Amino acid sequence: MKRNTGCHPLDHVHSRRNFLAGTAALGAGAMAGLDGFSSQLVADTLKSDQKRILQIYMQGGVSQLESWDPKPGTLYGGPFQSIPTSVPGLRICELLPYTAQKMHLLSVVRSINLNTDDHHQGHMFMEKGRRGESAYPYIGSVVNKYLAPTDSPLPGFVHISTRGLTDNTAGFLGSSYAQMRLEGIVPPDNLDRQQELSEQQFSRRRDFRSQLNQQFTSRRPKALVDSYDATFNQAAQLMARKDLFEKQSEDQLDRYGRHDFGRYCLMARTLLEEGSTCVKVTHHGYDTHAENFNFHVEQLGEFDQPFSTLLGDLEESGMLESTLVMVYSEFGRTPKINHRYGRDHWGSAWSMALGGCGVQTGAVIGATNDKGTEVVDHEVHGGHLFHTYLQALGIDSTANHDIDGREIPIGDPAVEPIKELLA
Amino acid sequence: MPLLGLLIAALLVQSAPAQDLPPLHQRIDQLVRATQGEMADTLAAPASDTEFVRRLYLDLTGRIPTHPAVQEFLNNPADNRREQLVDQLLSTPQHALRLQHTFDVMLMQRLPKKHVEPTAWQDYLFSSFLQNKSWKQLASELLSADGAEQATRGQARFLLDRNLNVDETVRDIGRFFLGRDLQCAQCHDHPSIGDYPQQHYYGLSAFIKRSYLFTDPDSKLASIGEKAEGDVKFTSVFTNEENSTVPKLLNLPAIEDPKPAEDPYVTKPDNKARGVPRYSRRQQLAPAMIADDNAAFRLNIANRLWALVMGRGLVEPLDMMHADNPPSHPELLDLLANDLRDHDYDIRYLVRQLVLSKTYQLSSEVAADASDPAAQLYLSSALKPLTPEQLAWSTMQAVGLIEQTRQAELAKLTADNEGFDPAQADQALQLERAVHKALESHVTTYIDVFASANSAFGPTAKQALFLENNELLSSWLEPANGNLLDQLNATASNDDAISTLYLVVLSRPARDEERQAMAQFLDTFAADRLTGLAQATRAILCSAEFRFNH
Amino acid sequence: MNEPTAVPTDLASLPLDVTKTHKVASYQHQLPLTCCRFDPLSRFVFAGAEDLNVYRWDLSSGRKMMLSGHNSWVRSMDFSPDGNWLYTAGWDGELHWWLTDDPLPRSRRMVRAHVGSARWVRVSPDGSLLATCGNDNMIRVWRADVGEMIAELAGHERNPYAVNFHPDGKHLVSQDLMGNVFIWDLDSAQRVASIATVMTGYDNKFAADMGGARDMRLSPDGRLVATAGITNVVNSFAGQQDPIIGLIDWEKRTVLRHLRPEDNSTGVAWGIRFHPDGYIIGGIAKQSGSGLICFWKLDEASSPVKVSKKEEKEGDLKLRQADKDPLALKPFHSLNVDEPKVLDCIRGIDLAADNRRLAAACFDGSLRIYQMTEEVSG
Repeated sequence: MKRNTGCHPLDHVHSRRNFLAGTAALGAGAMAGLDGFSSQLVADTLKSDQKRILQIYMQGGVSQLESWDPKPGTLYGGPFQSIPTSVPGLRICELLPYTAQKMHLLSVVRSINLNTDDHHQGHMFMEKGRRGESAYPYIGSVVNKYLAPTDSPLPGFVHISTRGLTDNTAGFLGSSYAQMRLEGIVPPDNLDRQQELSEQQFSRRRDFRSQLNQQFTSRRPKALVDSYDATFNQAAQLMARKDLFEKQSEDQLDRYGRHDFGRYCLMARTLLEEGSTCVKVTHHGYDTHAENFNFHVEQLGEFDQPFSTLLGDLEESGMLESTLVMVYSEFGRTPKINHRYGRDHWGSAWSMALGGCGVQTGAVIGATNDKGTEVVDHEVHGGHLFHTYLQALGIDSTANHDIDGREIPIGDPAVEPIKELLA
Repeated sequence: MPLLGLLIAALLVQSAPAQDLPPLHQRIDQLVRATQGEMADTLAAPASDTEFVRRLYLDLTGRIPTHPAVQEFLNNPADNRREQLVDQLLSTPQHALRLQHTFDVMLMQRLPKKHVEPTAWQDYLFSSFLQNKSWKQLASELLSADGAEQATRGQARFLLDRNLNVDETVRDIGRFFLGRDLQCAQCHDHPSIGDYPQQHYYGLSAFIKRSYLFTDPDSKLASIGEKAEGDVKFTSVFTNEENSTVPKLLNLPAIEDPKPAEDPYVTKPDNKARGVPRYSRRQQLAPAMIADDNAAFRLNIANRLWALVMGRGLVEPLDMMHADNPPSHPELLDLLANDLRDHDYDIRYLVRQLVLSKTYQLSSEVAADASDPAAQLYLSSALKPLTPEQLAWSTMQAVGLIEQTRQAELAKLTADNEGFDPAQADQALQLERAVHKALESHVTTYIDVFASANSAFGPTAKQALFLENNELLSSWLEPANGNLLDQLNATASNDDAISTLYLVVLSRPARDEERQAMAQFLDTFAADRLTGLAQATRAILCSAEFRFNH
Repeated sequence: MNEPTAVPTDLASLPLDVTKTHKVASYQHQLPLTCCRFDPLSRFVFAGAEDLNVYRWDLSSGRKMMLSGHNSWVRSMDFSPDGNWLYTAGWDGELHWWLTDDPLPRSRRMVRAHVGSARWVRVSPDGSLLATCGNDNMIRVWRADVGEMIAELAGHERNPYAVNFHPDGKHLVSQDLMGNVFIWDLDSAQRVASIATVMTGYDNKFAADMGGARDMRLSPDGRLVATAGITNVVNSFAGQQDPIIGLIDWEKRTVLRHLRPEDNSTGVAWGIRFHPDGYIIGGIAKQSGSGLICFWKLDEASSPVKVSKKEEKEGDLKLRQADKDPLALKPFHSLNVDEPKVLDCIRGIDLAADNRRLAAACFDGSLRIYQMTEEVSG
């Protein structure tokens, strides 16, 4: 039953059980159980080298005119100028001087039109590659399922953010592929096992608990229990890697910055190095309906150096070749400047940056007109982008998920990847 | 004439006295069955007595049953032992506490204290449910409170602790009393929900717009004052038209002000006194809300009570009732709402009928190879994650902490009060309250870890870490004063310990293969039997079977 | 629509009555304006806009000229005391020199004053120096005649928004995003005092600071520093915070008063001027988009308020909230710059040398001239 549950401002949170009931609408067998690597698709993927994905989500809608698609001196260009980058002919906003030096590692898509100005709708479309379909998994969970090795020492999909929607990221793939949220870099409580318990004893207790759960779910619907179970695995992984939460080194903090976003980027690098397959870092906030220019000075000022340091470190270590990097928002901002020196939501002509594994570098895909009021070349939306991420990672986005015998296309069959972006 | 005859017959049916109709719980089952169609082939078996007793205790008293209680129930030879148990539990103070927790979270969303002591509010809820106050009366009290009298400050929390902020208050009145989140409608007709027009938001705000938070300059206490003038105007962001409205609840008739008296105030508002007008728009809200012609009021509570025991509402989300989001069982929801109204909004009545239904009493077990059933077909009983309160109380019950605390409090009360007799109803209540107070801080700890926005179930690694490693639990698993670990430690054999463990913590006997598995586990601890028992207990406390109501 | 007005030559002799303030002229540009200034001889009025130019209107003929040379918006201008030179600071980081009455205006000199935006330029009392501040967190002092940098003052950790000379010519005052007011000794180029104010706020929801002086003036006798800005950040990404003009006692280095609008409306204070006849004039943009010109009485504003020990202890939370602020002062008179359904909030104000005319730079592209006297008919 298709339900129209109304608009989705940030504080309309759907209850989880509501979602799970809703997915039943997909029909019998839509819910995933503890899925083994049974499909050919997954087997093929595993033959290749380990790949991973880094997502930097600039929450609230970063202004494309103050970042990837500046138009200085035009009617709506605003007060900032553009600067040259390490890619000849490509200019970005002056607020990103460090990132400008790394643009040869990235490509820019300037022609996104999601046809929505709504935060939640825009965010979901960018994550799921599909418009408004609540049961579909986020890109992070898809990648977690198809690329994360079963013996990964860390959760396959980690999201570093202090804010929160209880995002249902795994959808019909099942909770074992859901994101694990780290609230910043603060170590979670209760990371140490009881003193009187040896590691072996602790491990045996975990196995025993797992055994108990298997018995329980053998004759009950799996979804809820799986989602609960998955958190114990995540907990164990965190306990095994307590060192990740130790004080970050002063040297590294000098390079990344001591504010939150800098620390998150450093943590992200560590997680990727140590075995997480998808790491998402959210940077708040860009929803500048007032003082757009002053706030972008601040937020991009925070973003610029750590991001470029992270990108540089990934390149230097050789990891960038096998790590897809995506820097995105849920929409852009209006060319027209309002009376509070602000820009409002603008889903119809905006940009993102992509780089790393499988992605062409130094490319500019699409264009907006002089004033930035519409896309004039190579319009794309979240569906095209979704295909592109997966293809870049060597996953066939035109294939199907196999969910308990039911086939569901991974990417939206109505659209294709952006071929010009694929290396 | 045949048509007239039919009409008369129909009228007769409608006005037939309640006792001629089958009890509500049977009519519930009929309507649920009617939607199951051929899926009824996959209907789960009825819940066994052991399934039923744990589930019922959790739903009605907010905690798992004690081992003696389970035994007593299982050994009751009466055919109607389930009905007896239902009636027994509904009359306990623990049931009142369960409803207190439920309605506290629903109405206050775990907002921190602002102007009213949460304990005053909680005590008000507790005593309301103890006397089985009707939802009609409760709603009326909450919506007409002004906080001016110390004795009735508790019930003013709903309005006061929202600072009478119009946006917040209107939104929450809509969500919790009408099942409608009108938030977006304040700026425009809801972009995608046809029947949440701006008029609904502003009509509701007109009841409270003239009211304001007044702080007494001497006592510093906040209460609600009201002016005798002030109109609600709004401009549609879409059309730019200006509209105005008097108090109006949804699509019901507007409530016009009477002709203004010469002196519109009983007490004029100034900085020493809260304004009390002769005609209060705010005091029109409660009667309008509970009136028969406001169907949304009873549909909302019927839906929420259904969700409480069945695991999901007939309309989901619970605050999104509208034409494009119809109930899964429209006739059933209407039936529940109207029947509740006919029984004067007696919450205990409806809850009783719900848990007596076969639908409620299905097993949660399904066939081994069955695909997940569509939850809204009610082919099996849903798994319901325990609320933070249920988890806290059940854990404390399981480890024997409640009993320990009861003994300690009883000793104190007996020492302080000559002739204290816990067999007396009011003294039993006093003891219960003392136990509750003594264990409150632990409940708060669980709330801090497990509570979530909108009470949505979203398990986290942080919660798993708490359950695995937290020291509070470790301290509860040390043997003392006849608690669970003390009892387990005192058992002669591991087999006895296993039996006790399953009966006390999971409220059921262990199956053979489970005995074996646990015996193997305990053996690995060899001489350190106590540690083994504690760890086995902890593993069960972390398990899904404990975490969920099933 | 450029409406020239015959300006009475004896305007300065008309009795001042701020309560009768009325619009006498309006000049129009196609884009929102960012700031405005009369030249010292009241021949022209200048405005910055949301484009790369500064615009000049001849006050007698109404003729509009474009001053082209910057590569970005200009939000700060000042003049040599004799009125011959105009100095402009832009978001391009550049400082430009112009001849005020140039028949065909062109930039006469450009200096790269800051890396990133140059937010402010101010002339020293004797006209020999210029002070600028910018997004590189630096304050710089320049020779007005040749454009040579003679001092760099470092110390602000977040963007300074405005910098001013004290009438004694020996000190500078600046205020940054965090509301901190710094006093500098010009000779040593050292900071000599720091005054914390509540003119800043951290928006928790969006994780960013807002604050800083959107305008700053000193009283002619140098006893008071007034800065225009914001406080009480509630939701600054939506423009919900309180406009405020902070008044500081120069000698005591303390905050005397918080000048606030009459109706406690939210928004931003963009302009402040001292009027020699005992007023402080403020220009405010309301969050809703309309504009306000407010007049406070100087004697009320400059008399200190007794803050009880209890209030002191309660800290700056109270100071930020309009209805609880013990330092708050409501205006003596306010004027709504408001035409129905037109967003015309004020981005800046200026007082003409005749002390009778006010200019207001508005979002609707209009530069409005107000006269603070009885309306003169004909």
